[in-house]
Amino acid sequence: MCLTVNYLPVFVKNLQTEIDFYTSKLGFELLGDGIYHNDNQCKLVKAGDNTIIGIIEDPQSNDGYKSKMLLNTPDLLHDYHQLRLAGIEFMNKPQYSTNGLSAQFADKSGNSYILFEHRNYQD
Amino acid sequence: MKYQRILKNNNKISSDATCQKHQRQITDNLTIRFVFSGNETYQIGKRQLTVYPDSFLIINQHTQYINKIDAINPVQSFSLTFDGDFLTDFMCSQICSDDKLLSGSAAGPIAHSFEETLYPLKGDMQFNLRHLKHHTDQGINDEFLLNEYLHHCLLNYYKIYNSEIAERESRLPFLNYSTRIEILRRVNLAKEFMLSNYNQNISLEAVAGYACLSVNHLLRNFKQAFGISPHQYLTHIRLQRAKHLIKTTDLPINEIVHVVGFECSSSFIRLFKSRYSITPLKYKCTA
Repeated sequence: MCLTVNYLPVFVKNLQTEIDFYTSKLGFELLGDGIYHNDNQCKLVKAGDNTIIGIIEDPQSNDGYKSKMLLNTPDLLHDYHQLRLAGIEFMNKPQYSTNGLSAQFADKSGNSYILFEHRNYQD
Repeated sequence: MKYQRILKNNNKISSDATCQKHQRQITDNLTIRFVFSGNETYQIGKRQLTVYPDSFLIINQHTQYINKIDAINPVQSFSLTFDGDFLTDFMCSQICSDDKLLSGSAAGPIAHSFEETLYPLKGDMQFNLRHLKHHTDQGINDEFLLNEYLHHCLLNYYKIYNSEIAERESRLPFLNYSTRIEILRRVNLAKEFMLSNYNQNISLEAVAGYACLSVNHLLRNFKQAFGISPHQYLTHIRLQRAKHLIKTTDLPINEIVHVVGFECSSSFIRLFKSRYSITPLKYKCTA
């Protein structure tokens, strides 16, 4: 068996708001429409590493499915600064850990994103 | 690449590439000096400190020094100078509560005097510095971004300071605080001497003489502060710099052995393998 991931679903309250969030703030590419489970429509966006996210509108899911996504960056301080300029409010300042630097933010639907720069301190 | 960026808050970022330099200078503010290739020697009073790519030097405000470069290939040097107000603001943000910061009662006179010595360039400091240099080399002038990096470089410096100075001081078994500080200052002189002269045939007597300690006193206190003997420390520096040369130059390993101060290739290979679990030749192939 060799299974592959088609796309990763993210549930949002307002589709257009989150499409803007993904494309104009995070710089993802809008691919177009996709079909989610039970013929429900979704919008597909592509990240820089070609990972595809399926944005699914579900206004009822206030307390429902909340995604948590790890976004890799080669230079966190630079992207942290750019995202703040784009209007994203971070939940914390960049924090150092044993394997890199991270900072967390959320979209308007409550899905959270961890911006992460992996650092190999052994090299 | 040669440039100097003076930010609106008077922080400065400077880059230089030169083969020859002999300048007498005085720092206007706290400065951190790096080199990305080659080495640069600073004479501060009677001390002679050589900065290599794996180390950096802190120079306090109003320190007079002579810096020298004498190399065949251009030495890429890089420095960060922090304005006093920026340092005060940074320190307040680290030690004062949010209430005090908001009410404006936090700002008081803070002395910006740091331990003026060589520190290892490692961990987050190394990553942030590389990123910062990349942006300034590209000509990015976004001052908020540049100041963000400078802020983080200070944060990273404090972490290194804690491991290099504060933790070592706490390991010294002297009850009297001033004795601990003085002994640490002297073993740090020994460390500086080895870092700056690692490629010479240096004797324990020469290290002890530079540190103003007797040989026995040096051996005992150095081991207490650093956890290893001066000889082990010197071997560690030589291996680390050999590793850097293997990775960044085309020099044959036999030549690197002598460049970093080892006399015998076989003992170098044995020590290298024991430390990095790979032979120098295999490391050269994978680097």
